Amino acid sequence: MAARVLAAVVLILLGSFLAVPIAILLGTVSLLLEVVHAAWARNGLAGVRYRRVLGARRVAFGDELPLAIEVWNRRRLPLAWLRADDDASPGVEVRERDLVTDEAKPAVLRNAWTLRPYERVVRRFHVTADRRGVHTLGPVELTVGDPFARRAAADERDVIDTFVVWPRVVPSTELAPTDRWGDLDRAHQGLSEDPSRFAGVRPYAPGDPVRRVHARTSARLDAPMLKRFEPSRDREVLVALDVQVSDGPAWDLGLTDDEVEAIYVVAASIVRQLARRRVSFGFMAAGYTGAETRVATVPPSSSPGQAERILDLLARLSVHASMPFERLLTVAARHARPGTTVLVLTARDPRPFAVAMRRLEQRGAHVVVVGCGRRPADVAARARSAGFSARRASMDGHWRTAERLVIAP
Amino acid sequence: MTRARLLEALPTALALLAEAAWVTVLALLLQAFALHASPLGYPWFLALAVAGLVATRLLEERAGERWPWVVAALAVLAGLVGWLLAPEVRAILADRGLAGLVEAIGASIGAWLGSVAFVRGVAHARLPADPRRIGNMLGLAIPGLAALAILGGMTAEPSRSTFLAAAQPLVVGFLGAGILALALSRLGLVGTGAAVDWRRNPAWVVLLVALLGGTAVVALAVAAFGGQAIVMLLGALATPLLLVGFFAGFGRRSLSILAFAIVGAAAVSTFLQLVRNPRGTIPPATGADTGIVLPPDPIPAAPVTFGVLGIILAVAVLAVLVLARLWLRRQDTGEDDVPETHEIDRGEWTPDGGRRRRRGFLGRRPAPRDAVGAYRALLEDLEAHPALRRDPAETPSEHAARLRAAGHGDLALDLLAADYGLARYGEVRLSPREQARALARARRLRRSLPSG
Repeated sequence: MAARVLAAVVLILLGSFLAVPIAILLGTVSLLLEVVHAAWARNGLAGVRYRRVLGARRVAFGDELPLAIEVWNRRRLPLAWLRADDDASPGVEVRERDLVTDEAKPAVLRNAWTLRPYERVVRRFHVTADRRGVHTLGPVELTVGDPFARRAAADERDVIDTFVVWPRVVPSTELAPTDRWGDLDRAHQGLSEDPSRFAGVRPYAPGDPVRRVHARTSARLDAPMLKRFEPSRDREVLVALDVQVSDGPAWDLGLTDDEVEAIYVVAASIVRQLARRRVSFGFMAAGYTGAETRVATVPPSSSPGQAERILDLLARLSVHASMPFERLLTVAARHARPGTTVLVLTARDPRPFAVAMRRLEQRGAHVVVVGCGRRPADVAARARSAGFSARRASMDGHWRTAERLVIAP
Repeated sequence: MTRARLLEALPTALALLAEAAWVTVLALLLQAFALHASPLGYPWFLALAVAGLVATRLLEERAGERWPWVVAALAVLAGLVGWLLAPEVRAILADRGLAGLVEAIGASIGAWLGSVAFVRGVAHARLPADPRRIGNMLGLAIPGLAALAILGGMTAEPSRSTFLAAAQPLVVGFLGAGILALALSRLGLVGTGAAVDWRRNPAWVVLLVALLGGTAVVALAVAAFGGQAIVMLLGALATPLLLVGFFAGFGRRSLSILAFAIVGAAAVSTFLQLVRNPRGTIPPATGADTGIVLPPDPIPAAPVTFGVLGIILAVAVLAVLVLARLWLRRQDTGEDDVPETHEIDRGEWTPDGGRRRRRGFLGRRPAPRDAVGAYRALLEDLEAHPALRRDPAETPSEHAARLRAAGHGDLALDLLAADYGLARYGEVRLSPREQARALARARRLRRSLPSG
């Protein structure tokens, strides 16, 4: 810019001394253009407001989030153009736009507007991601053009929006965990009843216990009526996910990204099925989630939103293990209540951590190994040979396209 | 060709106008040096530039690999035709045949630049117009034209006056068309895929044309009357500055630089005067002590030229505005597949409509009616900005003081916070006038505070 101004001044002086009006004219025009440009470079972005609004903070794999981008020129002068380059984390996709790849940035959502004085424009997009994880949009780099449409000023605004994409969930066959006594939920066929969960009245039949007679209703109806209760059974389930897919030390990352993702899909599908059956369930995995702890855990609960909490955790989990799986099982043994069914999801030979699983069983838990990965049947067979109950979980295709998860003995 | 394609071609058309202008100036200069009047004017070079563009659009695919050769042949043909169009050339060739070839070429040497115009037309054949190409043209042509004008100013009279008088409107046209073409094509490039085009922003078009017009008027005025004033001013300032320098304390180094500059300026000045006037008749000097020489009389035809230029400029501005108006009326909005909403928001809140009490997804809030509502609405705006939002433990006045200390907001924020405090916690009933003042303050603050 300084060089242009200097050249313009030189032209004006040269034209003046040599009495060549054309040189003065060219110099003056160049100088005035630079003056306008400098004014815009200083204040071009001062009155520009940029806002990005995501319709939600979490989304299921394959679903889309509404995204609204608003720009507002709060000045009396129009803007020739305004460009906003939103950095997008790898994997983010926008339905309406192809993301631009820059030298320094892997993916950029580029938008441009031409704005009248005080004009406010809201542009609506749909965002998704091609894999689970925590995805970000931002920061944004705003660039503005001067009245001659020349790039005048740029500013990076540290506005970052984060959204979580849950792992893919596919319909699965029934897992059918072992029924046990106690707990609060309704069974398909109950042998016992939970006296804290009143379910209505029925007429008395010979042999019914007299202490169950509902006195007030019997008096009102003038016939003996009996209280009924919801049947109950124990179905607290803890899903323990083995993030490692190949044998070896936990810190060995390997190039098995797709296999790990497939295990996450199996875990998410099982979690979703447990939620649908209103089972009290929890989750544990030895992976990094961005928190300080190396154990990712959600304590068992049957409260609404439990599945979403676990799916959130699954979305954040790293593809590599944070500690050996046997240590995770040891931690689980300390926390699992007696009677809990521990579903061990693994793609590896389970015999190296049989000791930890046996410790779990000694504490009253019931361990079921669910074999996943490329050879789920082998995993299940090895678990059975080690003396544990086992299932195999296999999908009917690649994790991105699979339509069904089959869980079979 | 559809209307959209025609509009897409507007920057290209303007670029061709600019290209033809600088080629014409160069042709005029060559003719001035050859001391022959130019038989071909701006329309001829413009026609050749357009011909280059049309030829490319029509023949490039058919010619295939041979296209560069075809371009070269057509360019030579364009130059040859222009050269032969000059009656003087035809007369020389008729009289002396090939023996008079050199003289014939000199008689209309500028006509050969028709080849250049044709090639420049070829360069702009791709649609949409490439702003880099137009920018390069402007970047090279502005200093180039200045150099040509200075060179043309060194020719002998009356060629000098003729050249300068003919070149000036062309230079103005070149600047206007070139800058307009560059601006429109830049906007086109930025808006690629985003359905951004100038028809959506008439305010910008008006601003651009007004700035261009203003720049042209100022530049013409400076060119007409500023040259002498600058020389006189510098001449008048030189001696006092030197005296101040001597008294303020020139060092040995600065004195040597000054001496070198004076000697250099004198040498350059003498050389330029000799080149401009080979007979050695140097015009009278005004300040012998400064060594600065005043230029000769200005061009006599300058006022007439400026009047004509002014009229042309006004007509051009009017034409652009009328065309813009016509095109805007039939805007094609089907290009963008991203749904978007536009509104003019001057920073005021919408009237309190019965069904719009709650804010939706980017919806507008109801208009506040009093100081409390206005302050709360402002706080809601500031929520988007982490550095500006009010901390839970902060009182309104503390918040206002913090923002002012950080350089945001002004006294209006303190006053609004005070009004809020009085009305909300002090159980003071503000008068309608105070409420109106608070609302106005909030509106102004909403416009001036940084965005979130």
